[in-house]
Amino acid sequence: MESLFSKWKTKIPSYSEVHKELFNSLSSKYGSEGEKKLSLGKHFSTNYELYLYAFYLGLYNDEFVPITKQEKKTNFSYEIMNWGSKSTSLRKDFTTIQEHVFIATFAKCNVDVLELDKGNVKEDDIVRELIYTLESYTNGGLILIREELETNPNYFFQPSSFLQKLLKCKAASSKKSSIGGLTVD
Amino acid sequence: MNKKDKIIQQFLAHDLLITKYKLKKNQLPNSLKAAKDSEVPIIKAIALMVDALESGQVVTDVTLRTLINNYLNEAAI
Amino acid sequence: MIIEKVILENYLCYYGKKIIELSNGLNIILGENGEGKTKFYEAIEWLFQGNNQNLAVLVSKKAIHEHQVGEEFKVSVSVAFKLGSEKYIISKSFLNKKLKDGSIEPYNYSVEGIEESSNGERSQVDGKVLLDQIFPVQIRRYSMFKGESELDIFNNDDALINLINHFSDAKYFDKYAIRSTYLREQSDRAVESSVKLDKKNIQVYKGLEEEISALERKRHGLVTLTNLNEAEIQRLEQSIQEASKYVQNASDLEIYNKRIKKLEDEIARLMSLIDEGYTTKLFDENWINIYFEQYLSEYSKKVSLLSSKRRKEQSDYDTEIGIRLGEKKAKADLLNNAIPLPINVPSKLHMEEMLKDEICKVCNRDAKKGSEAYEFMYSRLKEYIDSQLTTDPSDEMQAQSLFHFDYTSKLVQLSSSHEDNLKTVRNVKEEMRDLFEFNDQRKNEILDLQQKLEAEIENRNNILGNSKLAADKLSDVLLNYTSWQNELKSCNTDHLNNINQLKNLDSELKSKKEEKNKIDLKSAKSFLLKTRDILTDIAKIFHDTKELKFEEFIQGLEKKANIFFKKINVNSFTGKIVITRKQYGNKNALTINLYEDDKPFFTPNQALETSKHIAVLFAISEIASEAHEELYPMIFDAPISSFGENKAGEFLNLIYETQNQKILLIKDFIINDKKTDKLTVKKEFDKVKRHKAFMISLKRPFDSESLKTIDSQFISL
Repeated sequence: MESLFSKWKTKIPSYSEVHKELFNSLSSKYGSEGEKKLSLGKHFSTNYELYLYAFYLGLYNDEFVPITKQEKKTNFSYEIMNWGSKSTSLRKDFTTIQEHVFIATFAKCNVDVLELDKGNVKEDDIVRELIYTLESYTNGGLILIREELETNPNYFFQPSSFLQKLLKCKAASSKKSSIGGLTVD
Repeated sequence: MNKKDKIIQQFLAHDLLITKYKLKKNQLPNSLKAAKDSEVPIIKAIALMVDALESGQVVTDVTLRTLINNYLNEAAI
Repeated sequence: MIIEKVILENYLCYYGKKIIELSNGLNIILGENGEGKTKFYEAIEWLFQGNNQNLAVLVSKKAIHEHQVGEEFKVSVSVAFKLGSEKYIISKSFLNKKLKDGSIEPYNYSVEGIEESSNGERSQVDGKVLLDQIFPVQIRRYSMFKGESELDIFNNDDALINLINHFSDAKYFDKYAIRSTYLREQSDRAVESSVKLDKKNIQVYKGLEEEISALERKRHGLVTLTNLNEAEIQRLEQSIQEASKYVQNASDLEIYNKRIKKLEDEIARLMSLIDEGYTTKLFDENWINIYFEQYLSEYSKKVSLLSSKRRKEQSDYDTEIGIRLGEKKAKADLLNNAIPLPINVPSKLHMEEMLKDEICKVCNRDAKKGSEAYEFMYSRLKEYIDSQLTTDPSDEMQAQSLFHFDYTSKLVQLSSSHEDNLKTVRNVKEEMRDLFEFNDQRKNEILDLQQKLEAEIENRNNILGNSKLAADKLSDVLLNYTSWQNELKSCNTDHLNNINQLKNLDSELKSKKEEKNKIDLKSAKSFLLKTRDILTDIAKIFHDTKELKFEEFIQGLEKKANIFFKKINVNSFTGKIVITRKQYGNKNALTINLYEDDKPFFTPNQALETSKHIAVLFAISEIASEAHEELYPMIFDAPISSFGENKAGEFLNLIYETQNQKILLIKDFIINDKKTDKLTVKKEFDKVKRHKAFMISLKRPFDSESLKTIDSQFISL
């Protein structure tokens, strides 16, 4: 039994250079936890955390915005399979998130795995498609973050801001689930 | 009442004369003169001292001692 | 006796002749600082006790300026007294000649006395002798004071003896005590000599004598120690009383500090409990997948569709090609040609279980052995087991298989494993809610505590605001206070020990002396003994009587002082003056303290201190008057600066009533208009009772840099 997932997670997804500043300001390139994170003033310990957040934000809000051909792409040289593995006691390991992301992108993708099973399509092609989906939702999410910052530069100063923003998504209202007790700004 | 009388009165007012020497208040003389005539040695001795020291003249220790001892030693015998 | 006139001639700031006529009773002389008030006092002082040294500095600079070179002029201070019906004048003067270089040469210093009888006859007498007769030095000593600090006359140890010597007949008794002690000692010695003549006794006697001396030395040392200890006790009591003003504050401060710390600690603890790492929890607690379920179901749908499609295609394929590769590939025909389930579903274990129980547990129907259902399940299981046995790499088969890879199964597996884990995703909502609630509760608790904290801090600030000491000084006070209390305890214990020791020593001494006495009695000439007895008694009588007289004097002084004190007390102080005598060896020291409710009051302010001293001085003045059967004037320069104007007015009205002549120089009740440089007397002064009042001021205009323009004058009010 072959695993698409195993191949997929060896990839490094990219983002548009346009968002480079977001990564610089919100996350810490080489990773930081605890005191260091506080002193650097970063919301996200690592770049991939911001990437993941942006993906979910885009996904839940149905913001599928592919990176245009003109935009230059860049990445942070960290394969998906390493995402969520923590070597410090301050954080928990959340490598399972890789599966969640795979499942979500596959769900939104239209790939014919049977052709892959028959050997008519190459693994790399499928994986490429999946990564493209991932990058597009992420791009959407990053744009949403940027837009928020432009209208409201102080928005993310509250500790629960990122959480709140995520919860305000379209997916929430569609599920008709209310999280009582949470104040939605 | 002159000064000398006042002084000797003050001395003779002391308890000792009553408690130890068993003298009664009315037996105590009022004036220096009367005290000098007393037959109670302690009273007379006091009177002699007052007389000497209030005489206005200088009384040396030797003189005073001689005077008093003279009297007391005699009186004791 | 009163001072009728003071005449100043060319003395310091007084140019020319100034005649100041005083009356009996209260004379008030007002003067701003620097206008000549104190110089007036000093002039009188110079007359009474000055000498002929440094005369040149006393000369009025203006006088020097106004005279020509070679001209002669006089500097003098004269006082006219009235004693009974007689009048006297005492003058101190000297002449000056102005020299070419502008300086002066004083000469002809003299002190003159003039007696003026009732019929106007004047006769010259020796000035110095006259002064001592009219105004004896021992009385002057308690009648003239410059400034508040000089009012404390009991600062030195001789003060009491001086007082007694001058004003009390206790002085007579001093010499008796001394003399009689001497006589007794001599008599002792006579007895001892007599005893020693008897050789038998010498050893024992000498021994006893030595023991007695040693005991007496020890006793003396112990008495000194006791006195020092008593002084220490008083010092500690004073410190404690001063501190106790602050201690109540200090211990309240402690309480508030403790409460504040407790609150701060609790707030810190609660703060640390608050966990607002929401962004991090998105990942660590998998909150980010809160809405994952819908995507999972999309995925699952896709994937199961994929799986069934694949099976169908495979099934069709197999059916098409009609592969008959033995029973490994045999598929049981399903009803309605339906697409068979994957070969490993249900699993081997489930199949074995169902076969054993002879039930199909999926549809809950019997599958008894031998039945169609049973056979179906049995052959399926066999198929599965066989399929696991071989992996036949036979090319023929490979070339003819539809699917070369199986990505689908893994995808299906992923789906089922995540379906199983949905429960945890579903809990995320509640977890979030719980955390927000928890944090909010802690925040509310913190708000409550912060309010309480503010209240306590305010309380604390009130204390610090009220107390003159800073917070850390207050803590010091508390520390000191406790240690002083402890020291006081141990000093008091020591004191008791000392008293006990003294008692023991005394009884030892007594027994030794009795022993000695026994020997005396046996051996000495009896008349010597009798004499000694009497002299001992006389010494005791004299000593006791002297002590009594001393005490009487002091109590009299205290009583009088308290009468005056009550009158002039400007501080509504409800206590009294207590005068105590302390004997240190031969010294008799007096301490004057204020007591309130029978306890020493150690912290009077300056005004109260001054009232205390003035009351004592008036008491002494009264005693002096009684002793000499004459009244004497009192001259004070700035005695009540600390009183403030209102109290000064009250005070003056109170002493107006006393009998003797009083000359007071004060600086209250004057306004200096800086713009016009005019000095005026305030309206309030009109209400002050007095017999006569003056204002001293420098003649304007004057140049403070140039002394030759300086000339003070008296203005009658």
